[in-house]
Amino acid sequence: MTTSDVIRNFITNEILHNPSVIPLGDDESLIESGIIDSLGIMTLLAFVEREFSVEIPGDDLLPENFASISAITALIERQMVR
Amino acid sequence: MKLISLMFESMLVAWYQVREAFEEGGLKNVLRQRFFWKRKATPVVMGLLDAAPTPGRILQDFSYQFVEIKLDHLRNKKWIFSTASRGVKASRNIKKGWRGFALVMKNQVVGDVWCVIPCGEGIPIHHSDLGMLGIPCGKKDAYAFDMYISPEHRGENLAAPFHRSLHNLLRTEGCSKVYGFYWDDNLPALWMHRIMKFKELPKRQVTRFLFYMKSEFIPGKSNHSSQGQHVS
Repeated sequence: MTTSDVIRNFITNEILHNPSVIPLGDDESLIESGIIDSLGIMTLLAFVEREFSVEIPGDDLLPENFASISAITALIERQMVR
Repeated sequence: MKLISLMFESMLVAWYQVREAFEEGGLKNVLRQRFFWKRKATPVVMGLLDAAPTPGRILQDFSYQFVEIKLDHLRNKKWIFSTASRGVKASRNIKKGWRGFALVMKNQVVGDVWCVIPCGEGIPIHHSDLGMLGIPCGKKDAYAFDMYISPEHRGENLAAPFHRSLHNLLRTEGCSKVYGFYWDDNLPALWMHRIMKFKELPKRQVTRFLFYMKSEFIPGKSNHSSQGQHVS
């Protein structure tokens, strides 16, 4: 399963709590749609750091880094390289 | 007499807050709120006059009302505060000259936020956060603080629309900027301020032991502008 798929599944099941929702697109806006709100970011961040064994510094907690599944994937891959 | 009344209300607020903190997370939670060492705080600012209102949902989408809290409302028990300490705090804050705004559903206050315009018309109004955080409030600048949404209504995406309502009101009153701050370890607050594109100012680290508080700039710490760029 790709990084994007892992994130997609997590958001669908644990944040949207709706496994039957139409799969989120890689570039679908997560913030404007309200999916990643101020509580959602806590849940998502904890998952990303645990699942991918990365640490996302405060300076990278930017809306553009969590705007879509693609953006989150790119952020994780950058952290893995460090 | 007024001073004694304020002191009494402040003690009552503190008592309620300790009790609520204990109910939420035990003694550890109570101590964490009153004893910390070099906790990072980020002051923020948003221009109100030259920027368009930030896009996003408004309170009307949620069927909540945005109303200013007046002493009469509290005396007449117009609303019920979901969290007891917030009602007591409201009375004390208004007497200090601070303005409060409530998020109301039916007759219940589910959230509130406070605001002071230190250098507005009339006598300057003081708030200890301004010195602690190095916030340079100018004439007609506002400082918004202590936003609270009751636990049962968190997760409903209310914080940003609530802030937008306050900003819109301040804008119509001629305020040019609104300042605020968030604790760096308060991820929901950090996220909300960045979503709303507040500009971040130099960070501070704050030490507190009960009523003693001290803050200092963090040397060499970069901050982000509202566009996510590093500014020195």
